[in-house]
Amino acid sequence: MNISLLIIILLIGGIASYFLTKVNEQLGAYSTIAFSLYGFIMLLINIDSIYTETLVPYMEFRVSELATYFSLVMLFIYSMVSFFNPFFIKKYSHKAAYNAFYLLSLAGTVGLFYASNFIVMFIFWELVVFTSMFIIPLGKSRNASVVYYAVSAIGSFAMLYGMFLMFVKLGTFNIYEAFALLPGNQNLAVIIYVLFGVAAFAKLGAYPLHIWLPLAHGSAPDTFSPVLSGGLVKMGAFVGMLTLVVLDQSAFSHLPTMFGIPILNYVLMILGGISIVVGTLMAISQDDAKKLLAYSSVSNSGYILIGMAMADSIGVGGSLFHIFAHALGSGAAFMAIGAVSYRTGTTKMSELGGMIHPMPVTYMVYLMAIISLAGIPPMGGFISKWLIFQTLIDKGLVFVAAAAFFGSIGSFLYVFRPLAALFLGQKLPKHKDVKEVNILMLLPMGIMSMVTFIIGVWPVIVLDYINKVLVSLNIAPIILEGFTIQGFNGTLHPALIAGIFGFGVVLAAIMFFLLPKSRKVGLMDTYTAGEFIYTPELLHYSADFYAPIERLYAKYPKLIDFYKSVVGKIKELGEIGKYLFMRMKPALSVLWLIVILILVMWGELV
Amino acid sequence: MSPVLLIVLPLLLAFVSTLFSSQKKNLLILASLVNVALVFMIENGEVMIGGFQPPFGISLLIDGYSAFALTVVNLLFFGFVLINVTKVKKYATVGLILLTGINGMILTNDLFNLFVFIELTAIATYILTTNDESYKSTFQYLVIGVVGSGIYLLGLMSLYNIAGTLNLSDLMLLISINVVSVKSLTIPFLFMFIGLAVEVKMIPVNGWVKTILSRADEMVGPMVGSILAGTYLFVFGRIATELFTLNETITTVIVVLSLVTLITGEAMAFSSKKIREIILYSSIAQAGLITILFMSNLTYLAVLAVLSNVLSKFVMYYTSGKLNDEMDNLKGVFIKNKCVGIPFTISALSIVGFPLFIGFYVKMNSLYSLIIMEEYLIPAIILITAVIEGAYFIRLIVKLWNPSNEGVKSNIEDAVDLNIEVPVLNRVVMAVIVVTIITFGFMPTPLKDFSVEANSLNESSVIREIETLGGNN
Repeated sequence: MNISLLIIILLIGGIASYFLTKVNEQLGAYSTIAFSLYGFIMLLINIDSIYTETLVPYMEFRVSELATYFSLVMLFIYSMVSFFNPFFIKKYSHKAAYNAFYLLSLAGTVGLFYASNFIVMFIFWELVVFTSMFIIPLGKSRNASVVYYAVSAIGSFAMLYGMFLMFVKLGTFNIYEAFALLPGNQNLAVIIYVLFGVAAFAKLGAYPLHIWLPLAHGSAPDTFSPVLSGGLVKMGAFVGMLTLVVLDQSAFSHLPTMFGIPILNYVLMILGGISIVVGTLMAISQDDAKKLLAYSSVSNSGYILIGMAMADSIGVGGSLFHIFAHALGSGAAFMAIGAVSYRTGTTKMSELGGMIHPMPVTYMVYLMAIISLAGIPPMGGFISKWLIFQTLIDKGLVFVAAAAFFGSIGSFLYVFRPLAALFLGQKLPKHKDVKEVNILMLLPMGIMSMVTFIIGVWPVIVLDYINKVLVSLNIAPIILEGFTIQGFNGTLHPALIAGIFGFGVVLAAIMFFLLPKSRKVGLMDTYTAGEFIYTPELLHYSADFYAPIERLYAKYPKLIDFYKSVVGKIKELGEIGKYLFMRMKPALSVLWLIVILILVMWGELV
Repeated sequence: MSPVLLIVLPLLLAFVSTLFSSQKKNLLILASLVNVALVFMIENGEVMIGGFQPPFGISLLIDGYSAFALTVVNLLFFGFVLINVTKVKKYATVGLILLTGINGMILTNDLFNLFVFIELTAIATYILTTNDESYKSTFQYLVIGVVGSGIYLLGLMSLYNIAGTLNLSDLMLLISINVVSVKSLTIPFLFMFIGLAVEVKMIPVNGWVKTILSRADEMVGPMVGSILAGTYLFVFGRIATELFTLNETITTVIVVLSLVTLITGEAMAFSSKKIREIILYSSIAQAGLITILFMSNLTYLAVLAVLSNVLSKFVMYYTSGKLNDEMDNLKGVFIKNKCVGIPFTISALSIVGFPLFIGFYVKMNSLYSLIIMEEYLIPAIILITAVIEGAYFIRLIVKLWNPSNEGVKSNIEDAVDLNIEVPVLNRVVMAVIVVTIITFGFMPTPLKDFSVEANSLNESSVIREIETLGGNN
């Protein structure tokens, strides 16, 4: 399978779907399914026989296991989510553009993973940024896309600056040559680490560049939030892999270490830890289910970063596994919320409830996704978190481990809230006619849930390929024996755990069916001591669900205020400029002319 | 064909047009069409007028640089005439004088002559900008323009006093053989720079830009914001690369002012909410960027940056001239007006640096060349301002394409009900410009071949002549 051909097909597919949508919007939407699914299947069946042959001048690629892994994750998420497009397309104001940008951004991600040359990588990177930036405003917010672009641009320009620096100092635009030469120039390596780190943080949505994520994910069109959260943030993880793993860490041997970890990696881990804590705390206080999941992505990006920064087999392997598990989990969760939104038109938890009755399959999908996101067996998310915890404990990284465990427990608090508020409880009267979504929408959600479950029970199928990736990056593979994974201080038997869990589920089911049923009451069937209730919604249990916890940190300073103030300062500078130079006062202009003349001639005349 | 025709023909027709006022419009069309044809027929070299040997007579210089500039400007002028074919009649004489002045500025090899052509162009521009009857803003432009060109003239006087010549080639010759020391020319250069800075839109002497362009319609906008801005930048580039860069003091002054212009321009655009204001402040910032490139001796890229900017701004000023002004009142206006929306978007994206548009090529290569020159601070500043630039252009595009308020799903029914009439001819002009932006982004090689002489401007014919003469004492 020629990877250049695949990328070109996807690019052409993007353009073709534009015109197909002009002919018929359903046809265009189905073409996104066809192209992304084609890409995924072709890459999967040819996984061992991928090669590259330049078809278009300058578009040069390099096949690597790392790129294939990332591309497979991306293609899988895109192809699954694309099943939603035919149903949502009629709601969008720019139908043809949506379909085209959907496929173009997919082509861009695959292109940037396989790029062998920094310029090609940057072009594809910008393609993804711009195309996704035009999809986001089709949703609820226009400002979100501006914030998204600005933060992405900070990242991509930092990366661009690093690329040029490397070219000047090392004389090559080839990614892998440049990273191989970098350890010879340790000062440059530190600068590149920081610059590429900014790009990784910006795209991954890790603290302190996470502000775009809740805005963009929370207000993007329902079909694009899963792609953003499950797919596109992983671009940042890819750049992180380049600097943390592809770049030989001997480049930083001149720097001091903390707990046996190079100081740069340690700082990065601390930031990852802060991402976990901040993401968790902010997720707890959200009312909108999509924003909640967006903050959970911030938190999960912290795990991915921490795992990578460990730079050992279990850490990097765990991080790679988490990339897939999180893509599945958050993709499926966003799709389930999207399905609810498709039927009800809202994603606000306080406006929903009781969706389990009309939409049981969606409920199951969401349940399995959040179990995985929270890192509970027997789902995929558990395996990766277990691996990352293993290496954290082994290295004795107390603070980071504390943050990681805090995030894991905190995620119980937030992921079950939409479950309780959206799906459980009683239906609001206005949603009494809601039905389960179409089979074509259930299919991808079902597949994703099944995959989440399978990789949780039998992670070896994914870890086998991750081992190949690790070996190609000169890292020892993770030791796998049959169904088990060998950690630092113990062996994991995922299938056994799943069996125990299955037993528990069966037991609970028996109890549920044998014991008497609970009485159903109306949603607004609240009671007080003789007082008449005018606003029963406020007494709905999902309103201010976690108010006591939120109160603990409600008044802490928020980073978004800092960014707002920076934006305010730029605006003020502009206003000052306008006031000083741009008024309709000819005398003022002449005054400035004379002032500047006097100032620059000062030295010449005296 | 003699390049003199490029100047003389429009001037002659300008006189003729006052006699045959019924044929005014046709004369303008004729002149711009003939000029476009002439541009492709003239040959490189120095042309003397009236048989006087330079440095005594007026001489015109055609090299790769001026040929490139002439092509760009005359083609755009033709485009300008086409899109305003119905409106332009009243201003046909003015248009002919503008064409004279523009071509004269680019062609002339004499600094005093340049002053004459700048004045000529400026006077025509003053008349043109009164078309919306906002005389006060024209008055401001007039005051600052007159003072600016007065200072330029002052510079020329002191230059003539020191060097004894105003012929550009002659002056360079004198400098290169050390008859005139560059150090002694600081004061005249400074005066000349400040005079030019008014037209090039450098802060702090660009107050006129806002008053003129913030109310420009589809006639004044493309003319002042694109064609004239490009011409002045080309002229500035010629003088900057041949004279200013030789003097360190003046280089420092210009680079510092350019950086201030770039940063403040982007900040001012960012804080604006009116479409035309955003575009005009962005023009100011771009002017700062281009002067930096000129002063860094990256002439080839600076020329391309001018081209990219001129093309984009032509479309953007045209479109914004057609729209009313407040960004928030125009949500989703492009949905029903795709024929202006798509060119506008592509132009804006080119400036922001969307891959494979001409702006991307310019931006990447500028950064690359600056970093290759071991210049690290300026690329960093350019990149930081590029984030701001991207933010306000994206905000503008996204709002103009997507109806509905913040917090509500984008819905076609909320789109502003405004139908912009775009005649077929205008569509064709816009389409050609857009195709140019995209094509040269994909295939910049023809541009490179064309302006390769502009790239080696510093080793222009004059210097080479000296080397062969062995006059290097």
